[in-house]
Amino acid sequence: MERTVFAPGRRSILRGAGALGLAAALPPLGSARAADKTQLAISLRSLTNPYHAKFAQGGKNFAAAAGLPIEVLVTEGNSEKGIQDVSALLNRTGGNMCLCIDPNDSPDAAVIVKACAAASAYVVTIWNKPADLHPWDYNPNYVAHIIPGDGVTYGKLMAETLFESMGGEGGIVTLGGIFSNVPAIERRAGLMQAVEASNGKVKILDFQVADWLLPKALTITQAWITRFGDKIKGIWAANDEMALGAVQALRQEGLAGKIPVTGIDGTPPAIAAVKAGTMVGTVDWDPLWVGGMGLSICYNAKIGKIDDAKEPHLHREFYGTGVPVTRKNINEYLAASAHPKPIDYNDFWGRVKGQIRYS
Amino acid sequence: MSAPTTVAGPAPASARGSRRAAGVQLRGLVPLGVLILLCAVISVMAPEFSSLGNLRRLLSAAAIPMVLACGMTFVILLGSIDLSVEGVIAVGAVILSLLVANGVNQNDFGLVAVPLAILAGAALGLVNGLIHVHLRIPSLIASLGVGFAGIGVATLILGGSAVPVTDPLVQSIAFQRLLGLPGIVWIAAAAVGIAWLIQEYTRLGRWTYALGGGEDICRLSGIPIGRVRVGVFTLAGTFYGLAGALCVAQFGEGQALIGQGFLFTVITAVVVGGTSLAGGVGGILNSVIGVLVVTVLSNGMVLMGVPPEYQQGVQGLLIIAAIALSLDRKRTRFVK
Amino acid sequence: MTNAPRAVLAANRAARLRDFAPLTALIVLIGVIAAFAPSFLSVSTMLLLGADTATLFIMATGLTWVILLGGIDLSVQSVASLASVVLAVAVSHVGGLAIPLAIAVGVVAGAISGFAQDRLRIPSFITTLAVGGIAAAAALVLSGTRSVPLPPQAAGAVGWITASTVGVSHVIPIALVILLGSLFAERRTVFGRWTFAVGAGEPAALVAGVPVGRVKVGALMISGALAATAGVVLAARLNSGSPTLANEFLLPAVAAVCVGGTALTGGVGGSLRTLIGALIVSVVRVGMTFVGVDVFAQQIVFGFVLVLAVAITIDRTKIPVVK
Repeated sequence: MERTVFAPGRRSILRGAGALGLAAALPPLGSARAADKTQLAISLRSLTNPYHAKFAQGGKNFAAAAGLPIEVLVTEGNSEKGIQDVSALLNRTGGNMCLCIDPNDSPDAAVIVKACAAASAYVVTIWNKPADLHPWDYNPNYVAHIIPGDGVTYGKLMAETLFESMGGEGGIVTLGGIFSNVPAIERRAGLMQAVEASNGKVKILDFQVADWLLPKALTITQAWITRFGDKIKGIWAANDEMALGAVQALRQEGLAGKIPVTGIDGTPPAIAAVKAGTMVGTVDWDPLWVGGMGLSICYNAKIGKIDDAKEPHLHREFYGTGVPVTRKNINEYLAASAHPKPIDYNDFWGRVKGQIRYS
Repeated sequence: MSAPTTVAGPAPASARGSRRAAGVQLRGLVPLGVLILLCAVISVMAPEFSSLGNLRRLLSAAAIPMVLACGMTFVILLGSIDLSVEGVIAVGAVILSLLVANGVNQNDFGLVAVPLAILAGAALGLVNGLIHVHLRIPSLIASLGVGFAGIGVATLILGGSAVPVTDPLVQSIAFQRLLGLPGIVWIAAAAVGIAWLIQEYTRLGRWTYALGGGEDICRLSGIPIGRVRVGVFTLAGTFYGLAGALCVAQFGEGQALIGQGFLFTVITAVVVGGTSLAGGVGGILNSVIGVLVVTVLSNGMVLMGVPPEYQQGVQGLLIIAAIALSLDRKRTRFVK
Repeated sequence: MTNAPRAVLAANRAARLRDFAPLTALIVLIGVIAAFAPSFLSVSTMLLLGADTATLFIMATGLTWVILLGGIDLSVQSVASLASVVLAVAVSHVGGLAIPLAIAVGVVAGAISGFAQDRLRIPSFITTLAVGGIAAAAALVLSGTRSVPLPPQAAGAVGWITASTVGVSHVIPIALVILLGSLFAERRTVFGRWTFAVGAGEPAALVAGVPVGRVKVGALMISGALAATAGVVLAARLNSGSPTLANEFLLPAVAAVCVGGTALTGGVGGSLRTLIGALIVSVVRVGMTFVGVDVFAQQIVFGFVLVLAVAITIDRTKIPVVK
């Protein structure tokens, strides 16, 4: 029965701790949330990966330049949470809001765009959306859909870079991203085009899915080394994390730098690996530009500087420009990125590289 | 059929005795049989499986799950569960990667940082245990909360970036070979040895079995239940912290999601090895087998060329089969 | 435990008070958030919160039945995803019948888990983990590893789920019907009584003649059915099915059940508690966005609130051993 005696004490301790914890986590009451200022928001999967962390930073940079409040929302990979957070923010701001979102899964985009349009908020989507949902179906609220880089084009480009460093022929093994994810599918389609174009000189020994993750890519590559041994002349990965996992597996066999590996995304560790020669290529999407420009286009449509309904479809659904980083241009790339040019937030269409194709 | 003959009587005093009884000994060999059978089948389908090179790679892939299983086994022996694995790994890995020579800051404390990562793991384990015991919350929830917090702290420290590690000593843990095996394998073997010694020769080990066998009687016999539980969770956290450090060596970088996917792998491995989720039955050596089964399975699926979209399903079926074979149904009358 | 009836009476009073702990926690949470962001209390926010919680609640209600027995169902998110794929693939062939078909798939998944648990004596933790893997593989193969949009002709068959009447999304009444059904099953049926009996003590239940094995299979079938229902609702909301549609739903669902005060050891709790638990999980998540908790701190706060909420809501007098 001593439990009953101690219970109230424990309760009050809990309550005290709870109050403290909440107080520490909450911003002070009445902090700068001027209702008349447009709320900017970025929504993405999580801040635990370099790509999205920089994406969010890009959004914050634009917010600072424009003097507007910004909120970063994360889905944690849960579609419902992503939708819930956006609806909560729409409700809080009464629709006076500009959202730049990388939806967790393509179907989510439709729900979020409809919610934004219903609340008269403005939205730009990045990477994922259903093929039959178009910005011009929701004028003026759905401003644009941006795919920072055409997965097919750059997936193919990296495959070609890989083939070149293998001497144009031999067997390769390939690591794919999460099933049913649009960039994962596109990048692989680009790879397949390049393999077909090689006229049978390059053969895919195996394809495995490592869910974009480094540890998984490492164990798969270890098994490949057993299964195919020196038949492996190159490794193509749909993102940098998986490419780095493959490099680690090669390193354990003393093969790092001897078997070429390519990634995509341009994360700092991958750039360093290209410099060191353990990877032969990656593509930098410039996530700072994506986050900043996504919000800039959205905000300028809201304040009327862009009349999106009158813009051509090319400006509503477009591929951005990626920067391929290979052994050839790594030094120029590093020199240039040591002194980055400030992003011109008014150069809306400067990096448009064609209208998005839906097959 | 499934109807029990007698009610499962928790008898902590005899738990170790009956564990060693002849029938149980034999039953304990079944997971080993499953492992051998699995290896045999894969070797037939893919002869390169049994090469020396693949053996080395298998052991290297099994090292981190093995260290994690050392901690998880004790928790499961209590009849508890620990979902904080991935969060603790993240904290340990982030701390280590930021303190040794890396691509983000100027620190270069060398291997001195490894004990710090382990300590951080122990501290999180301690918090886990204290919350579980003193707030009387199920370990599943306490560890879920601590796990969330761990990932959160790691994300907070890094701001989302990944820290590539350049320290040659840390790298060499994963790559430097001794008698043909990489260092990480020897560290995992040492961890297993320590865990086994704790299990067999310390009061903490004995009491863990006793508690798993039945808490009511332990209370009557004066075992300090709360302290044992806190001790086990702290010990588990220590192993996870070590695993976090090994992740940095193995994967070459520290980041918040570095431990993703290890949690269910480890729980599956421990159970496949024959340690009962109800507590009191099993042990470290079972987990060694279990980790090997799980590692061989994922290695084998790539070797045999099972298409990736089928792999999860095949794994599910084989795990049910493996556990069905190795479960001692006489001892598991009540299955939850 | 041996002393006088007075202690029993006091314990009874305390127990009755404690029944309200989850609800009190929910109200306090809403109060705290509203103090920081008054617009949180608006009718539209509350309706939205209800609609957005429905999927989680439906899934967690199924899970509650398994947890009441002291088991767990780790397959719910994969089963939900599989159901969404089945719906999306089947709706163009069989129309509205695709909904019962998708739910039937969930029932089958639950039955397989239950069979493996009952006959092979494998803990539900492992059988459902394995069946989850099988369901995930089935969803990948069936969908061709892509997300499958609902065809336009599905609008009539599935559209009613997400339509709204006088501003109330239909998912709210759907969730309420499921709540009432589950409550009825808990309180007015033999199966409900058996479930609590098995959860409270399996040996005693066996002696009393409860068909323990069938109760366990039944609970897992309910869980599978409701997980599939959640998948159908989610597919309707997102207008497509996908093998990864319900990813990251499992832990929030487990959290919802526990936060509501249902004990993981079994025998204590119920779906009304799960409703409150699901609302608490939702309110904390949405509340953090509403109040503007820094995104880097959100996971830490979530973990903290989770532990705190369970510490407050769990009824320890009915749980002899906390594992």
